[in-house]
Amino acid sequence: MNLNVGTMVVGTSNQTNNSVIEKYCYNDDPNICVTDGGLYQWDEMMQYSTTGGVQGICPAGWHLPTDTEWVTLEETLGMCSGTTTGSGCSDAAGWRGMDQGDQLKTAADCFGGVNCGTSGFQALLAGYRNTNISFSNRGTHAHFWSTTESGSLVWVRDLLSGEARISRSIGSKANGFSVRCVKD
Amino acid sequence: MKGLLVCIFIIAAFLLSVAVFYSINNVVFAEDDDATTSASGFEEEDDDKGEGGKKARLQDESLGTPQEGHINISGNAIIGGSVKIGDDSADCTSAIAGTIRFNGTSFEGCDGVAWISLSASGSGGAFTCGVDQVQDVDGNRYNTVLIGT
Repeated sequence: MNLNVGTMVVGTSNQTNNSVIEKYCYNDDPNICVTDGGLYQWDEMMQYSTTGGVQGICPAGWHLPTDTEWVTLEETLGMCSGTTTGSGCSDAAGWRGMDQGDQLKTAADCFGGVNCGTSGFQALLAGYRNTNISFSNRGTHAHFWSTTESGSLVWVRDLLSGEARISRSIGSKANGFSVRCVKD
Repeated sequence: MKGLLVCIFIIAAFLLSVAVFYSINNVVFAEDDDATTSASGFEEEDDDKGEGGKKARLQDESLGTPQEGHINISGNAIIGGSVKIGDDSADCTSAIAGTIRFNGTSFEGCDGVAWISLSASGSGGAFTCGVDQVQDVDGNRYNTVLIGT
């Protein structure tokens, strides 16, 4: 499941550097944090560091994934490597791969009907907290942070209920997205 | 010489008592003796709890006094038959590190921090790791999954 550490703050507030790990729960409902995990702004997740692969809010012995580690995961699941335009390989932006998104999702959220949920990752379509402070798309969207910045934005991974592939995109740090950790 | 024979007799008597107390499938206790202590400090106790209500307790004094119904053994246990393991609701702490339990679905072991699955593979959770469960500072536990090698 997604990380669910910290104390809930309402979606109308920004998470702040106050020595308390803060999280959003979709629709400000703490019960949804239990099932779907918390949603975190990038700075909060990083615990106000900008170092790639930092522990951040992960348990001891674990760290937040870099964009490169996401690529490693995707290639392990069979995504072609490189940036060849049009092929949708791991280093490209946008929708890439073939069924790697369905491999990451649960079988119940599979779109293409092939290799559904086979990775065991069981990505939850937890929705997100918009920069306009509303909550959106629970059940249809999953967005996971990386620690890798691209200018003032950050590389993220997106999964949709209606898409078998994985999107690599850049997003605003002010969003509230889901978090997964990687063992050191 | 006489003293040596006495020692041999005592040791033989102890070994015989152990043979009586242990059957192949059960730990068997004397009916009326409340406690007997061997020269090695291994104590067997039989608390009278009425007919059919006895609670067994085997105590190796080097490990302290066990709770009723518990057995403390500092050495190896060699069991010829299978061992059935039940559930345990205790929090996993350093005090019970090394404990295993069966929660009705899968076997779990306490590593001193969290109960981790001893099943062949994990499911769900954070990615790429070598253990099956991890706990955060709030006590939330997450299943983990190993993807790749």
